[in-house]
Amino acid sequence: MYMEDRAMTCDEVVNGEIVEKYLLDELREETRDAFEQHYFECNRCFELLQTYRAMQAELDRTREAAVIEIPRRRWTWMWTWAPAMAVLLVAVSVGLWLRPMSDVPLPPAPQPSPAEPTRPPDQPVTAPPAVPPPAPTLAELARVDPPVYRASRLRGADEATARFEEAMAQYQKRNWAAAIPGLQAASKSDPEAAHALFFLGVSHLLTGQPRLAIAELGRTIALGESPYLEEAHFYLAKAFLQTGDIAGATKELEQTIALRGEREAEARRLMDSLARVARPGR
Amino acid sequence: MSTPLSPPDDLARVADRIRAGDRSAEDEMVRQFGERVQVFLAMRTRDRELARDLGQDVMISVLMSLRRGQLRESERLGAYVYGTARNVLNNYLRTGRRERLEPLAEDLAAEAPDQAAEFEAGQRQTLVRRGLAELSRADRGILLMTLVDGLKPGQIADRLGLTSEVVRARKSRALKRVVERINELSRNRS
Repeated sequence: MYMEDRAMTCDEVVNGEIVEKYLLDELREETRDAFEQHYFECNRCFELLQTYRAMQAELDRTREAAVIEIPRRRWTWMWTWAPAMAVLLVAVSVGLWLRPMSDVPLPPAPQPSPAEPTRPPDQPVTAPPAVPPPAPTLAELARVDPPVYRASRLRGADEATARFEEAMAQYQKRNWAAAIPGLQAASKSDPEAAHALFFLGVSHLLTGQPRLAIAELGRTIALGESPYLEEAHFYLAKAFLQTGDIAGATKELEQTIALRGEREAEARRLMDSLARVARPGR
Repeated sequence: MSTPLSPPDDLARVADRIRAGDRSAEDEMVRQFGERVQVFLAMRTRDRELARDLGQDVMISVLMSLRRGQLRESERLGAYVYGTARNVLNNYLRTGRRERLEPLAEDLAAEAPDQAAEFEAGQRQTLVRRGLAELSRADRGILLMTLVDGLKPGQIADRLGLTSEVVRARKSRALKRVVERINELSRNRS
């Protein structure tokens, strides 16, 4: 969070959603002034502001196209169709009541086919044994694909951001171990930088240190809303899987699904696979 | 996409060159800070025409000060321009009229920076359009309600039958995706 007695940093701009609040004129006067002074000296944050302004203009211009598809309430269709359904139900009931019973043919009694062996009536029917696909192993489910990072190389960043970007240059070369010290330094300079904590956790995970990953991803989640919240839950599930903690992984996958984002489908598939690992043969 | 600011040492040299009477340095200063000044004034006044007029006053005032060598920390030129812009705006808000500044001999209104800024704005708008087009309609709707209508996640959640946590997460992810996509597209262009 921005403290009003000093200059604002890029991480405070991002984590505090300062640009969005500035556009909507929701900042306190001191914070607004600090942000303005900051973007007069920072390319990255000025560019971000310009992007948000362009987004605001474009969204306003294309307002008609942004019709929301999500239903307001699940059962609203009931009220639309309820009168028609009621009329139909009454008509069918009256028709059936008026119909002479003798016209209704009785269904034929079931006859065993000649090929079908007779069995005692209390014996359950058994389906032919189906061959289930082999359940994946826990190690397979715990496998991690690194999340993509797209750098924005702009000048004018503060020291924490500079350390972060240096570390992420290593990360992009898949040099996870080399990325860790820089990410640690970046998150130490700014403990509320969700991006640094998230990629630090992922780098631990990719270097086979799931317990350290659990700590850092947990800290990312504890920061609350951030662009990394959903992915932090997902990768935390992976970290739990690497330690064999299925209950912990399941809980994190449920959290991922609840956020209804890009990882939802993958998290659901992983949950299904986990259920098969937990209950083999089903 | 915006004209990037030079590093502080280079800006200090621009200020020194202006004090020494180098007119090309004045153009450089206007090119580097003109857009920031316009944005600041447009955000504060919500009036583009007024912002343009006041923006000229800011630039004239800064250049006159630099010519007289009144900038003490020349590497903090950005902070100085911002301070001047605030003073010009506050004077206008207090008195309801613009300051009478002596016009510079050369016309610093400089059509060129305006045209360049408009070209850059057009480019940015194209990239933003492409970035937004890649979002789902529902996510675009959430951004519209947030950035244009100024609704809070709880209010959007009520409208959409979602929880406010889900709205926050979707908004945050959608913004991140658009910004990343724009950065990627602009890198590919350059």
